[in-house]
Amino acid sequence: MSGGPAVELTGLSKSFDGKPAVRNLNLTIPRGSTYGLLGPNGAGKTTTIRMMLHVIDSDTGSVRVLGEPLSQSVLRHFGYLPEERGVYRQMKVRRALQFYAELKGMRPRESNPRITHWLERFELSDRANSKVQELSKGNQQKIQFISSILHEPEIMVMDEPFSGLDPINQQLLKDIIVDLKRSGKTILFSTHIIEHAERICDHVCIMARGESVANGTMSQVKRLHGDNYIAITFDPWTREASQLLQRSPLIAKVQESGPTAEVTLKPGGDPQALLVELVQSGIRLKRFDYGEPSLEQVFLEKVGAPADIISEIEAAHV
Amino acid sequence: MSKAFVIFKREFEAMVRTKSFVIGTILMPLIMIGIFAFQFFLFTKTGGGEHTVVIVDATDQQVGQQTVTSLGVGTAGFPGSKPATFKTEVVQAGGDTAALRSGLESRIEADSLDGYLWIPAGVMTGENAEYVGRNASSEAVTDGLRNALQRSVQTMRLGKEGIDPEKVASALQPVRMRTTKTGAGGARGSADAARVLGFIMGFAIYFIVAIYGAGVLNGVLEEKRDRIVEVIVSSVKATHLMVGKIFGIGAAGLLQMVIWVLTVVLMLKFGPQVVTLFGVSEESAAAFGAALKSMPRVPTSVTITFLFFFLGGFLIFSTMYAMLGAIATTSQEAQQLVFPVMMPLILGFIMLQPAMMNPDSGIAIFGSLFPFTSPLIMPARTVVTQVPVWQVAASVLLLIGAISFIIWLGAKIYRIGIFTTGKRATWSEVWRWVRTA
Repeated sequence: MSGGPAVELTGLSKSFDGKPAVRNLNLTIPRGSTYGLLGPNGAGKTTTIRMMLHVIDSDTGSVRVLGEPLSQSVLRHFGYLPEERGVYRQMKVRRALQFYAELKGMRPRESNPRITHWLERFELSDRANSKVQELSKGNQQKIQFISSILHEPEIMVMDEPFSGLDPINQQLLKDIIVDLKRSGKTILFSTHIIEHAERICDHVCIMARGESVANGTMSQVKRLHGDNYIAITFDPWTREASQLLQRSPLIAKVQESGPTAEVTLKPGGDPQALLVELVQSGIRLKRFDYGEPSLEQVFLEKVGAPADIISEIEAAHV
Repeated sequence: MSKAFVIFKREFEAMVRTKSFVIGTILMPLIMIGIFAFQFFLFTKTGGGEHTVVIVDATDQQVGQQTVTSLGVGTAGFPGSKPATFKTEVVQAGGDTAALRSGLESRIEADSLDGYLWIPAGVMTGENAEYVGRNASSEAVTDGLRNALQRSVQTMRLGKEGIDPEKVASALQPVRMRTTKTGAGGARGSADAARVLGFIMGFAIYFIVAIYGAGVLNGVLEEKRDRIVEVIVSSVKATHLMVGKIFGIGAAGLLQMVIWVLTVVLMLKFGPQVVTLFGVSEESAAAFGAALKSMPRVPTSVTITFLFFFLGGFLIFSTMYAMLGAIATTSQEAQQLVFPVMMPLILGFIMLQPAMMNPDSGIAIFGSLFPFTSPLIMPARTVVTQVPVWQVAASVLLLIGAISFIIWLGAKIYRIGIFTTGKRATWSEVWRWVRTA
């Protein structure tokens, strides 16, 4: 295998019927990283993934995989779990898995032990000879996941992998992603649930309207938001406390949710001064955390569209 | 292993494992054998037998008696079937004809009589005779009586002109003709049988192309609907998926065809033994065996032509079905789109029979050259006539050209269409796909 990052996208663009879906996208996904592709619906995440996997052709730009230009032969390095999952419903589970492994060049005698292993891990051993359509939706998703990982790809690409999974299976999938990361695989997944990305990823790209609005390591992206970020938890929340934050000359922006407020100070604003102001007003605090913003905070700021939602929240507390 | 072959294998396996394939493959020949044997059984059972018939003679020239004499001369029927035999009674009509009729009819009701033949006084000058009976729909009975009556009336008319009745009888001896097809190409044997065989071949291609073409359509729709296509296309080129699918399903159709052909071959070889299982007497079975021997002997060249045009027809139509599957998003939409694709296939089927009756006519030649109808017409024509080599060559080249064009076009539409969801693409969108893909 030659050098270079796991995937490198350069100037990638795609339009559908004249409407741009992805615009001049440049991304580098380092080897061994766990990379989150974030963005609201319609941001261009799925189109980006499809171009990366040669499912559709880009209008302009190029894709390099492990240093090589995109071709049918480099596709074997990918494992792909699309957003909307589907396996041949009439096929039996083991045969369906053998088929997907064969598409990646594995003979049944190579794939069979791995199929057995994965079915055991997902507690589906007793369904190996059932037809796919006889399985529950959640179990069909597990089969789809197994089909994408059987050939032990270098790069796992998952489009919204957590959608439709119950909390137990979400945890199972997270554990597997952590295992894959430990074994040195590169993992790319798209999600619109920021919390998942924040917990698992070390790199992120936030997309909006077909463009990357922020990308890099998690801390690089968070730093883009600036350093003047404070998370405050009241004990308990009071109207006075909320009003004090709204009126404070030190604060540029407040986002409240329940007893917690995420505060952005004005440039040069001193966090200590805010703390003093709160304590002197007799407001009781459980937490006063001066540090990195949450990824959600960055996301909301960069994506912009949900600003209406922020002001709605603000209005509700006034 | 080529990835297109992996697709091919899956499609073939999926098709062959369906219940409808297993049932169709086994049941169809059994049903055909059953129908054939049952018809033969009916012919042999219903054709023969003794019929009690009263011949009412309203003439004063003993036409009734003459008819009785002529009965049983020169009758022919299905190979192995027995001509009807008659127990007759001649009654001279006179007096109350209505009473005579009702008397005869009550005898029929009482089961002591099968029917009566009424010979009117003016039969010699063209007045209609009439047969009334419980067995009036049996061709063996009516043919037997009609032939006998016609023969006796003709004999008597000629006798009136002074011709010796014996000479008349010998002049009226029926001529039988057996038709045998020959020529350098095509099948040899009975011309009727060749026409039937040609028609069966055309029909088999029509049937398999329609059934398995629909299989391709449903397969494409399933992959679209269940979002399978995206995973596959991340490993395999869309064109390979399409071609692997078409060939996989086509191979299943070919297998079914081969099984049916083998059944026919075995039927021709062991037909007499099979019909005896259905209660047919050994004597009739032997006659059946002789009839089967008159079936045309199909040379290898015809078989090769048949298989080539079957595959060609399948490729051309199933690629169009694959295109439809890619354009439509639901099976209802596909049903609405399917007609333009089916039309040339149906056209070929409509042309098949006239082409068999008149295999060297302009329409037959056109049908066997035009690539959308040639898969049905050309192999059938080669059975019934000696098709000039240039026509076969032109037809093959046209078909290969058309297949290449359709696959080229189909691949362009397919690789974009399979990712469209929501609403059906308009024709102008499809045209844009063709230009941009």
